[in-house]
Amino acid sequence: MKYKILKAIDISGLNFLSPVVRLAYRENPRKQLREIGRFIIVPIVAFLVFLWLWSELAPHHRTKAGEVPTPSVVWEASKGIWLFHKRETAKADAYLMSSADRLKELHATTARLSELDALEAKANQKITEVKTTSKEKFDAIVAPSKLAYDQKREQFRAANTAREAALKVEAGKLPTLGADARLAYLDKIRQNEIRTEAGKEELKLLKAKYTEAQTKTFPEVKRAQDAVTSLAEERQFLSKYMEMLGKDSRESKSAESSARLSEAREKFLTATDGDLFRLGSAVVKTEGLLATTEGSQYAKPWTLPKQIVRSLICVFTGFLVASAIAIPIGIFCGLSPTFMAAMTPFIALFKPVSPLVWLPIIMIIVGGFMPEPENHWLVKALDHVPVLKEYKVDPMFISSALTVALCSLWATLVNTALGVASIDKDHLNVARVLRLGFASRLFKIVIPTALPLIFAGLRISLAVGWMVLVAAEILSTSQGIGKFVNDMYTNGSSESFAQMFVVVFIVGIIGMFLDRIMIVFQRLVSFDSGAAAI
Amino acid sequence: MTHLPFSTEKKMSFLELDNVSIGFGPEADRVNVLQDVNLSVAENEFVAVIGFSGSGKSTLVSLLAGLQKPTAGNVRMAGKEVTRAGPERGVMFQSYSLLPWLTVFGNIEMAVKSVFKNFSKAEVREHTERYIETVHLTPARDKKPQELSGGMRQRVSLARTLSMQPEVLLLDEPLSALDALTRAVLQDEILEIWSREKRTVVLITNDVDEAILMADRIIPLTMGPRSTLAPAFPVSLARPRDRRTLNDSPEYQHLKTDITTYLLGLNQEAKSLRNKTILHMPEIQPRDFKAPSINSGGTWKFPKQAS
Repeated sequence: MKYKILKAIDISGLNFLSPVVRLAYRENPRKQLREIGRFIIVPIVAFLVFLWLWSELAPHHRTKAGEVPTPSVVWEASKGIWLFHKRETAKADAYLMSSADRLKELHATTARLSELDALEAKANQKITEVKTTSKEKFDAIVAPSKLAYDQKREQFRAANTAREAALKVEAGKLPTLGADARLAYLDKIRQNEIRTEAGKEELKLLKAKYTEAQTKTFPEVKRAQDAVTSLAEERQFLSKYMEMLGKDSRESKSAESSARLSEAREKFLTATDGDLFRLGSAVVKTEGLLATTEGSQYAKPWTLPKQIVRSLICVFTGFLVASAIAIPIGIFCGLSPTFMAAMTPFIALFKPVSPLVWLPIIMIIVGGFMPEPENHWLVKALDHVPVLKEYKVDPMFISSALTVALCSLWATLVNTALGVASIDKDHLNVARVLRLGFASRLFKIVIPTALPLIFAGLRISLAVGWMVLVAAEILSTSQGIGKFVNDMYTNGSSESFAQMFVVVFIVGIIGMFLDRIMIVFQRLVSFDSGAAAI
Repeated sequence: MTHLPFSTEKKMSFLELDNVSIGFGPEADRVNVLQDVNLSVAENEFVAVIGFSGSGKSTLVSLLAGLQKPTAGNVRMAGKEVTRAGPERGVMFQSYSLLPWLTVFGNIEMAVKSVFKNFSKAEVREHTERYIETVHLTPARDKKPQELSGGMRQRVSLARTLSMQPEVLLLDEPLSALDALTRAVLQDEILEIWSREKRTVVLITNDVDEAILMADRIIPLTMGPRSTLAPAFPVSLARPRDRRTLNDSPEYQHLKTDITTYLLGLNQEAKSLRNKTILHMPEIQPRDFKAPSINSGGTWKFPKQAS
């Protein structure tokens, strides 16, 4: 059993877990503890040191979007993203709920709203308390610097006016004096200017200190304010939720529509005078409205979890296209040195091209293929696929996927060619002695030999593709992680800034999982028990 | 030299090399690896070719198998010219060349399926298992080559070659990569299989003992480049040969000495080394051979010189 677990750990590449398993089976405890220390504790400690450094250094830098967020702020922002997603999903579900469930939810919501009243009252109280205490502290800090500034300003003004007055008096005497006196007078004016500038500099410094003191935020105040804001947000959500459960739900809207429909039909069937054509078309229109209402859904905005799934679908589409192109071409390249020589200039030339350069070109080309996306056969076909239709395949999605494909296919191509070209001569001799046909030789000997290198190439391609995708999505505004980052960037609030940091970690974690999966595949396929690189 | 000249009797040659040369480079400047090689192997004969490294032994096997074409002369089997490789000339490579992603069973099955295209699934399986049993590897049937020892891998290679039921067996230094004890075991196994299913065998080896133990005829290959086959040494030791008693046989001892001397004589390096041990002594002549006698008091007395 132990060896089965150890083998599974080895295949999945999670070798840092094996000392834990061995320790559980009491094999050589000291050695296992040492290894656990080295491979588990040390990385954790390093990460904690990194988090500490981050939280120390971040508040020192002030930007247009507020301070650089610390880890705790980023964590709060990630919770905010998840909360937003849950609330939107709740609204979408509420729209579709049936009457029994709706009643239950309405009861629960009203109860929560009354709770909220009490909570809000308390929170407001707390805010006033905190504000008064902080105001005292505030005054204690700000008042002296304000005083100093005001005093200095008065001094400066007084001194300035005095000097100018003196100079004017002297100027009055000047017409009677000669050129030397006038030049000396000019000097005095220059001196005056210099002293005025110096005075202004001093004032500026004092003002900066004063404003800095003014903008000093007290964490307790911010916390209290945040509490009030989150309660207010919840209240707003709950009231919208109640509306969604009540008159805005699909059921009630359909009921409304069908009531109107029956009314219109009555009118049409019993009308003695009036325009029957108009009444008839009204009936038909109301029928149409009813049909749309019954099939409608809440227009949920794109939340980050959904954008992540769309990004993943996009990257896998691009990856599959890349593999479908690169693997056959790679096999031909490996089999025929002439073909390889023909392909070499393309590989060398197009491999370094950045995705941000491909993307606009591909967007234009794809746009040319799909001038009217809604009427294109591909979009219509994919609209019928059950899971995919929620994720809206549009030309931007296709452009992003093709960019991913174009940038990530080179790694697979080169590795496949290498794998196919470096088959053991003896294996080929065996094929000749057995008189294997071309297809037999290809599938039974060439491809299995090359598989480990092919999978190594696929792994690199997927990693490159994931990096390319996030960049391409920012540029192509296709719904996904990149679009989320772009939206947060243009938003500019400090919470958006923190959410961008959340995206860093999400992208990293997903990339890590994708890499792990590819490592498992690579290990399964490789027959020479060579460890894959981390 | 006690070896008999090549073929005093007319044997029916089954596999033959007729004035074969193989080399590379343009016509005018050709470097021949093998030059004017003549070989005639009778049916069901066991021939061993012995030579040094780099003398073109593997090239010889490739020529016999049909994996390479000679630049002069031709290779014939049963009178027909050999143009390409095929399962009738089974090759056992020095590096086993087993496919690492297939199990033992899979490797042999692949050979059987390619050669016997109209076998049913059950027949293929039965045929494969028979040959796995022949080399005594049934317990390791589902193991991959990486999980086997060198001797076991060579046995799989042998089973694969035998399962093709070739008419000629070409063994290219099959046991060189193994340790001496495993080599002994495998030599006995090959001999035992050969005695049961008689076949023409050409064995390339660098071990004189192995050649004498296994072959009917030992043919040395001269040093490269431009190697050729030297006159053969027939082995008339009675079969089955037992390695334990072989050492006591005078014929074995003579044969071994002859072959070894011949081979070492081919070696230019050894020759030049021998030259180096010849020291030229200075030309001196003793003046007096007379030993000291009791009369002269027991000491040397140098005669007066007329200098």
